[in-house]
Amino acid sequence: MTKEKNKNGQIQFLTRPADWPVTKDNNFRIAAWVGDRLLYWGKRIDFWQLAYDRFKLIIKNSINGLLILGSIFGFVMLAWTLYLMQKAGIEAWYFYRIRTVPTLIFWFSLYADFYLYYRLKIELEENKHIDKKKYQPINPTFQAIDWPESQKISQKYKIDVSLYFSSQAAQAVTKAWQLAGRYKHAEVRPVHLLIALLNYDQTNSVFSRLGISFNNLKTRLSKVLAGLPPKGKEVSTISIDLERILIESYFLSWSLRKDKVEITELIESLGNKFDGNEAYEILYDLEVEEDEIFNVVTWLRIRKQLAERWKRFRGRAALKPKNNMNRAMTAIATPVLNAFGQDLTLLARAGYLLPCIGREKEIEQIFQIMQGGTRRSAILIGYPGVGRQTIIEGIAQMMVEENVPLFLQDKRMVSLSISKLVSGVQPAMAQERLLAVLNEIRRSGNIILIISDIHNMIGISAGQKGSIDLGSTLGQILQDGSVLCIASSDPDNYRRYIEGKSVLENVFEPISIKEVSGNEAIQILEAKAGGIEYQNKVYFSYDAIAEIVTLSDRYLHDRYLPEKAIEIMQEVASYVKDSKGKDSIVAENDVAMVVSAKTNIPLTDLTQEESKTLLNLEERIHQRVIGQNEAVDMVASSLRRARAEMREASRPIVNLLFLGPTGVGKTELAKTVAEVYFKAEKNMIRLDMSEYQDKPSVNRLIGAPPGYGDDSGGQLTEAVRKNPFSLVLFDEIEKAHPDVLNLLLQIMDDGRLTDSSGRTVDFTNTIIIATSNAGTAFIQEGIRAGKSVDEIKKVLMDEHLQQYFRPEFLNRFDGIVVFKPLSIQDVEAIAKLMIKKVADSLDEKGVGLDITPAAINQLAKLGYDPSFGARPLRRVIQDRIRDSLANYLIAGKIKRRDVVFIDADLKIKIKKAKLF
Amino acid sequence: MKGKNNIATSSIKLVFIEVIGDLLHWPFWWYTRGVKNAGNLFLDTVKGEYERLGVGIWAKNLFVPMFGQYDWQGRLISFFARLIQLIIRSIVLFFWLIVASVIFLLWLILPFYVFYQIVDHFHFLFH
Repeated sequence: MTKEKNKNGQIQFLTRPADWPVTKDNNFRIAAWVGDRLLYWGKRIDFWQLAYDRFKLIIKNSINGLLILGSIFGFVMLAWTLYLMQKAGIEAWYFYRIRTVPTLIFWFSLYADFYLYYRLKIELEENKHIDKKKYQPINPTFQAIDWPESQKISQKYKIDVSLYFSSQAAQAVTKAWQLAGRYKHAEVRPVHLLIALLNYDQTNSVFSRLGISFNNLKTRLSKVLAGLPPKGKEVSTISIDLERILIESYFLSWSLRKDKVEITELIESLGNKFDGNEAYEILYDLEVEEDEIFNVVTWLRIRKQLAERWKRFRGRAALKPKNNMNRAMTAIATPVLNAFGQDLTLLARAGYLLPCIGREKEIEQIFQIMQGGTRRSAILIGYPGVGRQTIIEGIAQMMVEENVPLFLQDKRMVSLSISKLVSGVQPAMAQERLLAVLNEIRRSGNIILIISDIHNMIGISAGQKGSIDLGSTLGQILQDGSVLCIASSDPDNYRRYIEGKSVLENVFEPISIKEVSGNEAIQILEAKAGGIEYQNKVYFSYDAIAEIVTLSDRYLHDRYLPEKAIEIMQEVASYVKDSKGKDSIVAENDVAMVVSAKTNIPLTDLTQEESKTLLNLEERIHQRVIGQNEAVDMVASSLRRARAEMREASRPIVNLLFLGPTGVGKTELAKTVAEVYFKAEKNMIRLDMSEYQDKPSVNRLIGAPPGYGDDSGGQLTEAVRKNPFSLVLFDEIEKAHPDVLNLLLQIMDDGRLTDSSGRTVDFTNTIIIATSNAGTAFIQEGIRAGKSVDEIKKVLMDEHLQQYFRPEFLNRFDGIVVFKPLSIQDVEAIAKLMIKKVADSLDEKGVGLDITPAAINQLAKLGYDPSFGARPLRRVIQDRIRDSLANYLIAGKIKRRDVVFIDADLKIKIKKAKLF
Repeated sequence: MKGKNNIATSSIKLVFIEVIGDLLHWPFWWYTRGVKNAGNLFLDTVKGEYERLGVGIWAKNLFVPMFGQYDWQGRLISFFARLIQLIIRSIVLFFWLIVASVIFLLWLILPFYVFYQIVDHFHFLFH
């Protein structure tokens, strides 16, 4: 996550040299220079200061109390007088002429009221507010100064930051001082402030979002506290490090244009990294980074902003008319439009629309287009889920507030539904309806038309082929600019139906809506979190939200941010509610669970069982693959790297080339990996490269270009898109056309491939295995001549493989594995595995199999062929064992509970089961 | 201990000086910043009512026909309808203007009037 600090502008800290004289005005030890102001902490905190403050507070409160009492007394006197007047039959309005002691008291009490009002008002006014930072197009150049220079600065430009602390924040600092006193520490340090801050709701909210466990925090705090120097008789003083944090929190508030330094700024400054800030060290120890604190505090700020926005919105919304009339009463009734559309401003006014966050730039662009220019209608082009509808709804909400350019004020925004328009009628009728709607809009003059997925209008035409369609009808009306319209479409359909093909292109100015990313996406999720948390009664930790964005971005490729992340967020919330119960916190791992379940990619923290499997991968593979230790080791270690996230995330998990004669287990190993790592053998995409020998076969892999053939997509790209977590096996790679190999180059290097329709398919969660028979004869000869595998491999690479593959292609492989021809012992082991399969199928029928080692040895001998590996073995077992067994079974000679006995002669004997 | 007592007495002194100063500052504030505040309250009230009643919108559209009726009959009826609306709305606005002005004037006059009442009371009761 990149840090996007709010702190634009610079700050330079200066500390007082040891020999610098202390005067009454300049008694601070650290100050901060921000270019035009010198910041310092001027508040002395000691026992007498606190006593003074408390005394002042008591006096203030007692004066106010007396004033209130006096005022009440005055009104009682007034009431008493009025009562007497009524009794005496005097009219109440005659009151001002009465001259008695009670009325005198009443008149005096009015002064008490005035004075009280003045006191309360002045308290609000005198509360100092931080000077608002000016908006400057360019930050002025910053000039550093040193301590002597800083002392020459006039008092006007020195700011005592302690005056700008909110009462809560000031109280927290006092509490920190009291804590230091209680623990008998010489200095008040950042850690004291951290403890003091734990008393505030905001801190608890930040820390629980960060997933900090309070027990862990406690142990660390007590360790740090124990290590601080104790004090003697003197009073604890505020340390330089703490002063620095306090000054930084002021600087932060100023950068954020806030009125006061509040608790949230103190928390954020405590998380700043510098020497001497042990609070940062403690938090870092608890796996909290500087960035995370920043993002969580921003989250709190966003929530506050949303609440303020809502308050303002409610106030303004009361002025917006509740029906389709505008305030100027110039509009007309629009019954047809109301039947086929939905009034978005009314929905917004009633509070049904969700807030739109972080899209100011796009909205500004729409306003600019609609305000002037020849084309005054805009079309938002973006993929589903990037937020086109949200932007439109955001504008609707701004219209309710009337916080829009003049041409949008006092207007309605109505979304026209194309499906309602065409439902149940002939195209001619739909066209008539559209014209009626447009006519109403034109005459009413207060309507902004919204048409989502406008491409659906194209091609609905009334007459013969080529006659005018709905889209063109709309286009013609829009051309004169009397109707303003915002439409939306996605890039593919826009290109296909509108660009260069429809009159609509000439009336709409395209605005492309990009997918959000990174911090923007996180902030959108943070804004959405409140509602989802409320619905599900769970709480999101910050890590969970960041993880949702990262994982959905990385693993859900067909859809777009922020929608896909919001959906995951909803799923995770309901999953956590069901599994952990109400009021639990959503953690990172819960998110990984949900995304894992969706994509079949293991993302959660390793379970013990899984780590055991991973550590014993070789053993598991060898249960199916005999021999070939080098290949198995290479595969196993690459799988471990992948699961522990120690691999490059931008390439496939591993690219391997298996070389060797047929029948030695190349394909079998691939299948085994699919079963062991990807959970099932079916998670293997197998492409026989002998089918891709000509140039056009590239199209079969990535799909035919648009307009040529069907749009079913490529065989490779579609398979990987649907199942991104799988093994891709390219069998007999040497037979493929060179252009096909070029595609593979890209997959192996970048981990992605773009298909014919422009979609990028992600290969970073696949294992690529290519097998080849190239150089088989040489391998066999070499083995026969007793050469080592390494020697053979070297010569193969240098001489034989060059005929088939280009060097850069070979270089892309993480490993090139030479499979050795099988020895007779290997074949025997394989025969055992195969016979076990026979035994399994017999077992299903309730029949046992007893086979002697001699029989297996005999099978291996019969099935062994140095040039075909173990392949003939399958045939031998089929011919000699399975066939005869089948005959026996069909003839009914084998019954349940019988045992088939096979010896070296491979003849079948049946041991009949005992009859009861 | 003497030093500490000094601080205590001096802080008590300080607090009382502040209290007296505050009391003296009150009349000054009442007729400077206080008047400004009261003026703002007056303006906000009137502006808010003006906005709520839409007087400006009605006045601006006096000659624009209502409900898109652009024929001359429509225009004629609209004009009178709008005129009546405008008059009623202006009356309501005027009422609010009076209310707001009374509050503002009370701010200015009331302290003096209370003073007059008190003096008069003394005159009447103790003479």
